[in-house]
Amino acid sequence: MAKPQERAKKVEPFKARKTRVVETKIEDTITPPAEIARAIDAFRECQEQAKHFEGEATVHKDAILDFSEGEYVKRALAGMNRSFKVLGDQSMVTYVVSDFSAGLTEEEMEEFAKKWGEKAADDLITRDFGSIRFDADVLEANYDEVVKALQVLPNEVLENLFKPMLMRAKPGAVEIAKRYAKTPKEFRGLLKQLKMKNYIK
Amino acid sequence: MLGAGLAQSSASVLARSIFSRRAVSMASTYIRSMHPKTAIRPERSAIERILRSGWVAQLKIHGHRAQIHIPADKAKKMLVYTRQGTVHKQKLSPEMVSELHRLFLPRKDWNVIDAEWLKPEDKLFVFDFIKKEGELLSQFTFPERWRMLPREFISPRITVLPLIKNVEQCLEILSQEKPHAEGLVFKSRSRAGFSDTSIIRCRR
Repeated sequence: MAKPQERAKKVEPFKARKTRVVETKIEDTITPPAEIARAIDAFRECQEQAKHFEGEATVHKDAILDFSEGEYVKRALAGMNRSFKVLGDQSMVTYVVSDFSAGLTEEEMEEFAKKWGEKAADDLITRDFGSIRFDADVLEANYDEVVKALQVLPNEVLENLFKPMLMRAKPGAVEIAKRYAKTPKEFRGLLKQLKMKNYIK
Repeated sequence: MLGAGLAQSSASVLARSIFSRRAVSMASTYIRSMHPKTAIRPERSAIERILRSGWVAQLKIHGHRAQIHIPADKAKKMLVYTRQGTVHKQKLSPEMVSELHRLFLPRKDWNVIDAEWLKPEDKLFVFDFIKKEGELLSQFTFPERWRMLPREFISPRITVLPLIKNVEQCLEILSQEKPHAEGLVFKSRSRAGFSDTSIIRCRR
């Protein structure tokens, strides 16, 4: 274990966010009580309908966006670079104008510079530092070396460069957890606290 | 060069750095084209409504999405990208390259077309024109871009998928069990560009 002095010197710079869910082939089936079986059917039917309505909504959304973008361009050129409402017969939508753009890929930036020029690219595009992510596998395989290499940075930079690291359950944690819970209730509580990402789909 | 990029990393946004994704830029870069995120039911009423809204259908082929970049200079290699923007590992056959040159060779710069590629059969089903002679066609609607595709030709390998505008044809396609045809996609006729809201899937 590192001595307190050494620990103070060595800044732990990392965070790890995403938990990778490993899917396995599912072969077990359970027959639930009747009300759960009904809930499953109703859930699937609603999902199906929601998907369909989302599809139909896309048709209308596309028309609204097409119109709103055209209006926005005219308004922005006239000095009204702000959000506006578009009225339906009985409802309305808001066309929200934001000062942020979605992540431009390198390819898109190259295309942009090709069409509008490098000066335009420099004037209009900036780096999205928030988009920088480590490759988790490479980082895991080289964690100590990476941490060591980063120690060349001043402490105040290193301490604040990364958001704090989160923890996650170890692979196989469920099996190990059984040793710590005496009852199913306890076991359920333990798994909840571990934030196991079980879900239905 | 990476070192040079690092040295000027706080200068131009175009300068390369360790955070740049690719070490070498491709001769023609992948263009993000439209991809359906939503679906409608394969039912008459839903199809009638979407066609009435001024959308148009196209057969949906279940192959490998292939965005093909064709250079004016035949000595240069064609690039075939996946939907994720990576290059397909499998190369186009020499016969396919020859057909693509015959039908889609630009006079200058690059042409970029979107297609479904049936690799074992060595067939391409072209459905969109993304870039013509170096000009990105994002200011055109889908039917306008489609009209720029060559259609009067016979080819054993390449098909340009037709536009379908009536409900009976759509239902007929959905009722047929054809290999590689997984249904239809509907595309907006009025909105320019490659927005994901301008395309909807309809599986049989």
